Order: sequence, then structure tokens, then C-alpha cells
Amino acid sequence: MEVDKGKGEAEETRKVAEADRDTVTLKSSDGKLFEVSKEAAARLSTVLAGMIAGGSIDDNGTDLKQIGSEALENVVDYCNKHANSIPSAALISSSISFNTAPFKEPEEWERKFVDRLSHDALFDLVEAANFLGMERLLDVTCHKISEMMKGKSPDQIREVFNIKNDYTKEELEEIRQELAWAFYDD
Amino acid sequence: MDSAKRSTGVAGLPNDVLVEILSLLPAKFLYRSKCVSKAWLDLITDRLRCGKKLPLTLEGFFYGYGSNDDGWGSNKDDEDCLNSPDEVDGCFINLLGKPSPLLDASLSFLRNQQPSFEVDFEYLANYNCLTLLDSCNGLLLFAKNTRDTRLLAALSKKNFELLPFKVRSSNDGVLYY
Repeated sequence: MEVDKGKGEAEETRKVAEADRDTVTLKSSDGKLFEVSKEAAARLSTVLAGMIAGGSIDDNGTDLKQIGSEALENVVDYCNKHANSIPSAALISSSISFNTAPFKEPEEWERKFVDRLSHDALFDLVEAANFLGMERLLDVTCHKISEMMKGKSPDQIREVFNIKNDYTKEELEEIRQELAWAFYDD
Repeated sequence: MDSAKRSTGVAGLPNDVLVEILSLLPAKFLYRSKCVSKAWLDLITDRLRCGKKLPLTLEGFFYGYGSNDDGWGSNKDDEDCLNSPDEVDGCFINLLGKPSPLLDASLSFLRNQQPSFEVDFEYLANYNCLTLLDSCNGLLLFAKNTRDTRLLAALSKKNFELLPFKVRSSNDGVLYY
């Protein structure tokens, strides 16, 4: 974008300044700005970690065109809460084990965090977590959605998740017969 | 966010995310979800087939006994097996402790726990005299009472294939799921 030399230098200076800051500014698809702790962002999101390491963080707000402001606010909120929820000594070296550890049940605050979300906000947050490579947030939000699915009939699932039934009556009957065991009791 | 975008619901999520969600469901709800839409059916079937993420539930064990200690004819000569199918007997032990094991729906012989694997599948009407030769990871290997026909059936599906060649048991390397 900026081709002339003077601006290039200014860019350099800005990057240096950016490296010294302990927060990063993220910009949602609708242009709202959010500040998040650099440490938490780098630890919780593989994508942001890569951007920070690669110096592609923009001081004036790193564009995240795929994420709306409500979802981004939740992401930032989650990062900030997460940073507080872990003793600072554990912060430094946890990024590697974080991504490979088996799924751990959501903690109380994580449960509350997703429980308060509306249906739409939850789904936006799943997508944002997926886009940003936030393993733990993805786990927690997926867990919440799977909880919502448990105990529901296919009809109810379709209704809740707004999915069109593209089976013919006969096709559905055939599958249901095959899966009769899955429809016993409850 | 905007409700227009949301109109796709869960189906609009990337497949990887959907698989993540489905993998957290108990098997029963997972299979039930096949009825939601064709896209879900394909996704679930596909992932189950690949054995990625979505879990296969251990329902129980087959065990076999027969006149020879090698089990289900594993080391038997082809000819022996076919000429004397009654030598191969077996049972299914249901680990879930429920009256209706997962397999009932498609394999009636499991519900009846017949001592012999002479089965009569509704969907295998043309092959009404089958002998179970072997099983492995949800696949069953059957022999029809002719010399060259082999059937391979998957446990949880009404699905079978005629093998183009003769095999005796999983030792011949075909029974992998």
C-alpha cells in the first residue's frame, strides 16, 4: 500500500513501537477496535501468535474481516478472562501443551461464559474461534453446542439449528429403520 | 450477529467444526443426527468410515467355538469350512448390558443370539444360508454354501459386498475397517 520510502520507514518505527506494546488492537468486520493482551492473544490463538511473530499486527487495528464485532468482543473478553484465570507462572510455557492436550471439561467460568451467549452469538463465536485457531475456545463452544444437541430429536435439531430437511419421507423412513436402536428409550 | 447470515445454522459451520461438535455426542445421538440432513449423513458416515474423530463404540464381542481350536476356521482348509458350516459356532456378548444392542436393527441373529451363524438377513434374501468365518473391527466375513462366494458385511450398516476373490479369514489380510 505504502510505496514511498518515507512512509516505509515510518512503518518500521511503528513496528518497533508495536513490539514494545503489551496489547494488540484487533479490528472487526464492521470496523470496531478491540484491545487484547498480546500475551493472552499469542497463547490462545495460533493465528494471532503467527501474526505477532511475523510482525503483521497493525497498530491501528489488525483487520479481522471474517469476524463481527460481537464475536470479536467475546473473543477478546475470553482472552482477558483466561489471562486472569491462570496463575501467571503457568502462562509462559503452556502454549505447546495447550494444543495437544486432550479435551478437558469446561471450567466453571468457561461454562458461564458460553451459557450467557445467545444462540447466534455462540455460533459466531465458534466460527471466530475456528478462524483464529483458538483450540480451547473452540473446545468450549463446541462442547456447549453438543450439550444443546443432546436429548433432541432430529426434528428438534433441525429446528434449533435452522437446517432444512432434504430427505424424502421414504428416505428418512429407511434411515430411521436402520438406526432403530438409536431411537429406543428416552 | 446478523440473522441473515445465521440462516444456515449449524450446516453453515465448517465441516471440521461440525465434526468437532458431533465427536462430543454420545454414539446414540451421533447416529441419530444422521437423520438431520443428507449433508450430515454424508459427513457422519464419511468420518466414521475414516475412523477420524467420531468414535466407534465397543458394543460387545463375538466369540467363536468349534470342533477345532483355531476358532472360526481361521486355519481351516477352504473346503472344510464350506462343507461343514456347523463346525463354526459362536455367540455375541453385549457389553452395554441393554436388551437392545446397537447391532440389532440390522443383524437379527444378534438379537436372537442363535448359537450358529446360519443367518437369514432380510436384506440378504438371496443368500439365506451363510456361515460366519471371521470378524474384525465391525466387519464380518461370511461364506455362502458354494465354493467361491464370499460376503463381507459391515455390522452397523445394512451393507455387504461380494468379494471378487476367495479368502479364508482375516489372516488373509482383507478384514480391516
